[in-house]
Amino acid sequence: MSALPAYMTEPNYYRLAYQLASQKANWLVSARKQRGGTSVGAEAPTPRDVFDAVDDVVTTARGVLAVYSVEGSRRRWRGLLGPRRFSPSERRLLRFLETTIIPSSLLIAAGTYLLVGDVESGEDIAASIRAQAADGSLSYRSLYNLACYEATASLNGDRVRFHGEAALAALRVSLRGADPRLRAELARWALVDPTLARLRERPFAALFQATMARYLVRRESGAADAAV
Amino acid sequence: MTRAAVVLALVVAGSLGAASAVGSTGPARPASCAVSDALAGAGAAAEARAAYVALVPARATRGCAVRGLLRLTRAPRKRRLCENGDDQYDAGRLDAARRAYSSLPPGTACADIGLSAIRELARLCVKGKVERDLGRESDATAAFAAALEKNPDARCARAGIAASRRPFWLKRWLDAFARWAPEALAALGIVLGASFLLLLLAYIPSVYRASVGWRVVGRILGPRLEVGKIAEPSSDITVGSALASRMKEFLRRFHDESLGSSVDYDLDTGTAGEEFAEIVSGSGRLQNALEKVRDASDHTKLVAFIVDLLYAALPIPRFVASGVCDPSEVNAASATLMLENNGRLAAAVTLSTPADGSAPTAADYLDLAMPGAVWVQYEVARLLGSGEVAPGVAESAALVREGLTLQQEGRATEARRAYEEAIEKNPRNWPAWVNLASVAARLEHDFPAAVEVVEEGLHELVEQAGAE
Repeated sequence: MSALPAYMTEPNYYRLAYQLASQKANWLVSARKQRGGTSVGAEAPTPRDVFDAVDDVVTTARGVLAVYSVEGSRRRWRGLLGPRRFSPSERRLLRFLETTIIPSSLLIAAGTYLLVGDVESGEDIAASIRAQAADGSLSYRSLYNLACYEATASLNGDRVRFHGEAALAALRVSLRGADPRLRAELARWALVDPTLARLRERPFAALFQATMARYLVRRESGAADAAV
Repeated sequence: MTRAAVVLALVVAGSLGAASAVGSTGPARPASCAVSDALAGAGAAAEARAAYVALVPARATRGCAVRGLLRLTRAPRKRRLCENGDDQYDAGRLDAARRAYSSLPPGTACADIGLSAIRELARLCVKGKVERDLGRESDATAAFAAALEKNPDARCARAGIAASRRPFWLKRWLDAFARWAPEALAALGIVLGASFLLLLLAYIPSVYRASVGWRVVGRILGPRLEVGKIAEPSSDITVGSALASRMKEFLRRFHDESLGSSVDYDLDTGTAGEEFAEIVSGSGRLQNALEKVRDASDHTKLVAFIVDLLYAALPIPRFVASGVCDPSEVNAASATLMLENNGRLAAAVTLSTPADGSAPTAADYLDLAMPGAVWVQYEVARLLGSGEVAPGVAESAALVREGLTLQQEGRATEARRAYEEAIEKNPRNWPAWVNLASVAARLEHDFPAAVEVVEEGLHELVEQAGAE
């Protein structure tokens, strides 16, 4: 698409931009834990840094979707031909932005709101993502992030069971929908992911272990895990 | 009869009388039946009858008066009935006309003539139907046409012609096609010949790169890659076919990962997205078809030969990868692979597994499939890009694939090393940046390092993209 800078149609740009927001959020969480939740390290990012990083990637992705939407509705050859058809790689990029990049990034922002105690703002964002999940228009990776958010939300507030069960459900669907080659790695990560720590405790531990057991099979050699 | 008609008749009769008076040169002639005839002609039957009766006593006018009276008493009745039948006949209603004529007294001449015409029409229509039932369409059409000539409004004839109209159209189209087919085929031949000549322009590299992106041209001139035979290392280990098949499988997977629309992008890891050759086997559909055509007859042999020749003349990059599994003289499996581009050796490489002190097995040779496929893929990309893909870029992308395997096995340090080396060889290998950050965060839990890698990669990406 000639109207857009080249990097905006490069999927790796969104991967990196998402990673920036995600790793800043991870760094923030880890720094808070190290300092007992009272303060963060001097060089550690602030919640504002995380929000800015999320804003960058979401705004860019939405801009690209808007440009493609206009382009897709325009008829070619003075209206004689139908609307422009996108190439397979363009369709793939748009799907990536819509089902993965935007919801996953927004969930980072929602989690950060929880971290700073603004549960209402976090829930506002999460509600729209839950609706998208109910439509079946979330990628397995966004569903994993939704599970992380729900697990974090179950740490505070009075809806522990609601969030815990929602987290387990999202995790289950996410693992089921993941590419078989990536499923084992994702399941292994879920076993140690700090944001899912709540699911590894009572009353969710048993259900969590059962879910994980379905997707992890230890090879006899012990060299690596494989997907079921 | 109205008064106006009577007056008109008298005026006509008067003018006729005057004309005869002016025209005559002799003594005045006795009054004729002109006035009575005019009245009868105008339909004033009663007045005309009275006038004729008045003329009967006179000898000179008796004859015409008597004839006039006879006409008044007989003719109108006969004429009116035949007119009715004639009207029905003219309107094409044969049954009604037949009834009208039949109601006339026997021997009425006009009724006999009318009935005869109706019988002839009915005969022609029946003949048309019978001919159609027998499948003789042209005879049927001729019969209906003859009926129409006799009475253009005859309903049975019109219906018969209407029923035969559609086949007429089809026949006309077929006739037209048969007439124009030679010219159309010649025109098609000219178009195909011109297209072939245009395709030959793709021998110019810049024209090839510009045109191969178009869907139709791309399908014809798109690169072909065939993984050929790989010779066995020894008579004990037969692994050549399996190695070739596994390389094909890897190449297909790389192709799908980079170009397939059905597979979604993964968020955390990136795969290389270079230019890939379409993988085809040596016995494509076209070649199979040509083989069958060749077997049909001597003429088709010639046609197949010409098509083969033209196909071979097209500027299609045809790559063939083949190789030899080296005999196990050392304690490692190794294979030498070669890549031919349109029959010329374009690249060669020797790949080997790490030596572990034991004699290599078939499984060790099969471990060469992945690096072999990566090598083939990037040599093809390099050759297609006319040198734009430097050897370092190919190696960098191969390192990303190796790093992904290590990452999936949880070997963080080795994966990190592979990605760092990949970035060193090609800083624009964006998947390497993504995967390096992913390793730092997920496997090493070093978030500050991950942020640093990502920021550097993003900076590089936006800078490079802006410079392009």
